[in-house]
Amino acid sequence: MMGTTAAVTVCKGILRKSLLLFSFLVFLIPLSGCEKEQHLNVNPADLHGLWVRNQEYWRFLDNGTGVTWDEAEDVSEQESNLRFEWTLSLDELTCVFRGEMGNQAVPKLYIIREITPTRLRWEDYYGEEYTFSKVVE
Amino acid sequence: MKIKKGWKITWITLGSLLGLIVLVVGVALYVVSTPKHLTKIVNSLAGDFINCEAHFENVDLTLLSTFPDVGLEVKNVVLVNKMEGAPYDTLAHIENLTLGVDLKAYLFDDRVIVHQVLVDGVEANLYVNADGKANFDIFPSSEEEDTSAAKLPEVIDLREVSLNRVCLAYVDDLSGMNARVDNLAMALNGKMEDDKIDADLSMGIPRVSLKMNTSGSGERMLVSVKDLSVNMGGEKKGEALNASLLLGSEEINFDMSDSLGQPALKSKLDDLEMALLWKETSGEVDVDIRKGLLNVGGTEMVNNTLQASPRKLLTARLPFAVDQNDMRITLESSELQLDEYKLLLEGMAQLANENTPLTVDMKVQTDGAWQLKPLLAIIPDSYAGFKKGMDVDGRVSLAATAKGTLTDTTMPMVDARVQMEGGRFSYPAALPYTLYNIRGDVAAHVDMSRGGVSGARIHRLSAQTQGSKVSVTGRADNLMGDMKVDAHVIGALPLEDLLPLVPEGMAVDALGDADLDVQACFTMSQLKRQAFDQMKATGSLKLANVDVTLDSIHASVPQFDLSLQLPSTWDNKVADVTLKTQKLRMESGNSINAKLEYADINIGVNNLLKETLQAAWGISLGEAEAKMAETQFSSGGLTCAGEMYLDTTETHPLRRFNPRFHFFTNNAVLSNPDLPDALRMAEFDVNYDENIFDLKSAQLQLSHTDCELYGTVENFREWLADKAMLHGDLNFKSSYTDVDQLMNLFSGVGTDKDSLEAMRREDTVPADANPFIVPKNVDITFNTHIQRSVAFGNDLNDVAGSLTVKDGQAILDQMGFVCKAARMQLTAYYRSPRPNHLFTAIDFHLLDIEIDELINMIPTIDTLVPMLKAFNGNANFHLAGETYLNARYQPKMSTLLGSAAISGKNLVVMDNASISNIAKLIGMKSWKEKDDKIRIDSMDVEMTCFRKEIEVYPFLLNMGSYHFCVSGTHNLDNKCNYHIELLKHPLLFKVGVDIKGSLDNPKISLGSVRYSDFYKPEVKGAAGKKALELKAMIREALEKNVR
Repeated sequence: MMGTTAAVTVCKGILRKSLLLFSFLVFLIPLSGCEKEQHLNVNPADLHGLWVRNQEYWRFLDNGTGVTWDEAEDVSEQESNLRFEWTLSLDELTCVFRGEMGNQAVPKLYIIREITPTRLRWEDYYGEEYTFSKVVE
Repeated sequence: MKIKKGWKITWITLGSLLGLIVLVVGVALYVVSTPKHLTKIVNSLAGDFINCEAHFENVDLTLLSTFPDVGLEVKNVVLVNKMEGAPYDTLAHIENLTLGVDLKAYLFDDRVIVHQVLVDGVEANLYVNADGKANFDIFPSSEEEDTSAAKLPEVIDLREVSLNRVCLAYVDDLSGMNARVDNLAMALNGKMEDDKIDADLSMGIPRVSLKMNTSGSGERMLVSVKDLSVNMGGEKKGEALNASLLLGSEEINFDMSDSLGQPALKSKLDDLEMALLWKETSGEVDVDIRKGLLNVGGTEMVNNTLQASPRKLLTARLPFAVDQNDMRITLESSELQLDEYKLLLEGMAQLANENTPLTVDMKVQTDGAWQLKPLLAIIPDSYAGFKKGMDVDGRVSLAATAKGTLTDTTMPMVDARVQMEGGRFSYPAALPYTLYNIRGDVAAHVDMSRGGVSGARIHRLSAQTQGSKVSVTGRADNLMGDMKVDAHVIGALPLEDLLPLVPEGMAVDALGDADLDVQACFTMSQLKRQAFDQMKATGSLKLANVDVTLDSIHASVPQFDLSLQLPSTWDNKVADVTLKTQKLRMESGNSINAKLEYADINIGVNNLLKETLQAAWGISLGEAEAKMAETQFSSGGLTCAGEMYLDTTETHPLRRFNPRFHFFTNNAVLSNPDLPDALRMAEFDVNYDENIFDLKSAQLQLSHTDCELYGTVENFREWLADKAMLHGDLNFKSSYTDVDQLMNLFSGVGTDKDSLEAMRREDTVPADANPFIVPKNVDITFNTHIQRSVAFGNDLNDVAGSLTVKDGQAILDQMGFVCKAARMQLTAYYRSPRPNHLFTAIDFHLLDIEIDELINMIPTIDTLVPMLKAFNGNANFHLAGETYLNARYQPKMSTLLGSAAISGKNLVVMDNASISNIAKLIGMKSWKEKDDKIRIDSMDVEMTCFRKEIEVYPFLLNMGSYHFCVSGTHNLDNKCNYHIELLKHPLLFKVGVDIKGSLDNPKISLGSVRYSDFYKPEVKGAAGKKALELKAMIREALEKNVR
């Protein structure tokens, strides 16, 4: 009896785990499905210039460098320490910041979702979106 | 009686006979030469003897008026000689002219002897034109040359020569002379026979005037004489001559101007009397001038005081003797007196001859002592400017000799001695008290010959004032050239006597005594050139019981010795000054309080008064205490030796005085409100050599911070001139250092307070914020070795590395140290462009880190890497970051940029609710090992921080048979978005977990699988490659500076 009960218990456990595993796998199917994303083919020249979000400015220069600063914290463009090199591959924008002491590299990846002459919207790796307006200089 | 009667008859007979003869001659002359006849003859013959028109009104012979001589009387002779330019045509008009001729000599010896010449009433107008032709050149020249030698008659017997009412006018256009004599009267008689001469002359002229102008220049001379009288008398027998000359005039005026028409000499003499008496070989000249004026070149030489004197202006009594053989004149007991001041003269002068030059041996001395005050009163006003405001008196005597020859190369030597007694000197403008009891005895030897040496000896020169006495002895040589002085000055001076010398407005009071003793030797050229290096002097000034108050400063010295020595015993220095005092106390209310004990100060100076002052000194103090304002300094002992030179073109004290010195003190304490605590110096030993501070040793303690500091600081002079940065290389050894305290202390050094305040106002810095402003214009490196320290509240041990402060930037260069948690290496950078905008960057490496200690030491780590607190064990941690800070050192998050890498092995996962939930979610009880702990075999984490966002790049966690990949972001607002993926486990499926929401209470859920092939190089995709590249970029950049 005890053995039967134990066997049933083991079977139930296996079944439960199997069901659980099955359910988990079923749950994972949609999660692991291959979904082809549509990529914009962004022209780097469209990115050149000064963009602002609130008081946060980003300037992209045509030599592949740029600088960003936030005037909300009493920082000017000349004083900014956040200078970067940028590259663009389709819609993937990579900005690599290097500290003044030269011993650090901080890469930031953004996916450009929209770019017009007056509007720029990108999304970071974790899905946060940021929208900028073009500053006419 | 018979004889007498016979003589009487004889005389009567002879007289009758003579009268008869005269009568016969007179009748005969009258018959032969009547006046009319004579006048006619003379007028007709006049033309043969004179070349001008002449007219004789009446010519007559007389016996009565000229008896016993026969006389020729001429009345109203008029000579007319017209000449162009002459003021008058008439040359002369003589009213009466009588000549008395010895009739007997004429009749019997055929000689013409004139006994009488009587002239009365003459008006003569003499004229010489510009060509030198005279209107009185009226006698015809002889056609035959007179070859006979001039020969005086054997006998001249002028018994009466008289001129009366003679007026002469003389105009000379050639020399520019114009002279006039009015009413000249003269009487002369004299006789010369053989070698005997006997003559008397008496002449009086009421008025004589002479005027001379030099044509073509401004030179002019005017002479006028009033009531001139001349009386001469004398007789000569053989070589023996006895004569007298008396000359007198009521008034003589002389006025001469130079070629520019400027006054050259002008004089007026009243009541001049001069007498010259001569008897054979000796004589006497006496001169008396009652009053007079003399103006030389516009300068009045006789001032009002002298004019007003009741005494004669000048008196001279000059007895003399002449030795004609030796051409020698000897003065004996002569006197020359100006007003009341009489000089006694005696000596001789021998005129030059073929064998000997002019030789003089004269002696002059005052007639007793002269009172100086009235003597100074008669000094011409133009030379008396020096005595304005001066009161001088005393009795002065002078004795001098002049002896020697006068040639082209020699001058008589003069020896003079001036003595003064009872002198008094007061000159408030320069000396605010009166000198009295002045005594002096100075002898001078003057040799004006070529190569001669002159000198003076000060036998005694002393003076007193109130309680002071000063005396000088010594000598002065080479008076005519570069005078050399060798003097000894001794004085006793109560300091009260010096108070009047203090400039007005300075509130000084002084008590005490000073004894001065100086011996000096120098030349005037050395003094003029201030060439103190060539002078010699030794001396001392001893001060006793000195008590001085200057404004609010009070100083007291029981004894103070100052000694001076030139030249210096030190190399290249001129003078040594030594100051010694056992105790000096100085105080000023509560602001200054100084006390020195056993002070021994030696100073060597060079060119003290020149702009290029150089000095060397040595100072030794037993004990010293000083307080100035709120700064206090005390020392158990102090020495300072050095040298300096003055550069007057500079204003900063250090560049102006350019010191080089060695300074040492021990057991010193310095306190100041700017210091958080008293700075204690167990030892401070520094050398400063113009541009370099060589800090040999400084053992300092400030609060709990102690240090030993040594090294060099350079470029000090250029730094002071703002021409270069201050460079320094200092070694800093400490057993304990409060870094925070030192940062506060040195904040803003190099920037003045006003500028700092202006910067704070402009940058709206809160009043309670006190950011560290890095000193500018300096480049100093501190090579530190600190056993224990506290910085930003953290304890750091065994700190070693360099701290460089460079022109507003501070750099901690690869500073290695050991804390409780790990071996650490830190490179940090800080600059302060604005008080509210401070930049800091760090490169931080923790090796063999104990994670829990790391979190305790740097709590911020927990914020940056939240899961770190879930681990225990040792890891390597690399961090680089930078940000701007505000004035309160709060990061400006919009500028934050950082990256970090953590790698560890055999880590233990702490019991953590989130980990347990994750494990429970995927049923991973087996994570825990037998000891109920979860262990991680290895972990390599790379993360970055950009502004508020922290991103953890995908990393692998190997925990036994489970392999995880973790990535995600969280921001400093405590929001997270993490993903954990189970890559390998006993079950065969892959699963991912998302952790989102608040870090404190995250929402955990199953998520998609992203990294299934992440660590399979042969299959991983582009995203995986990119992620790995970025991870490598981050780690390589971080690890490249690890030593």
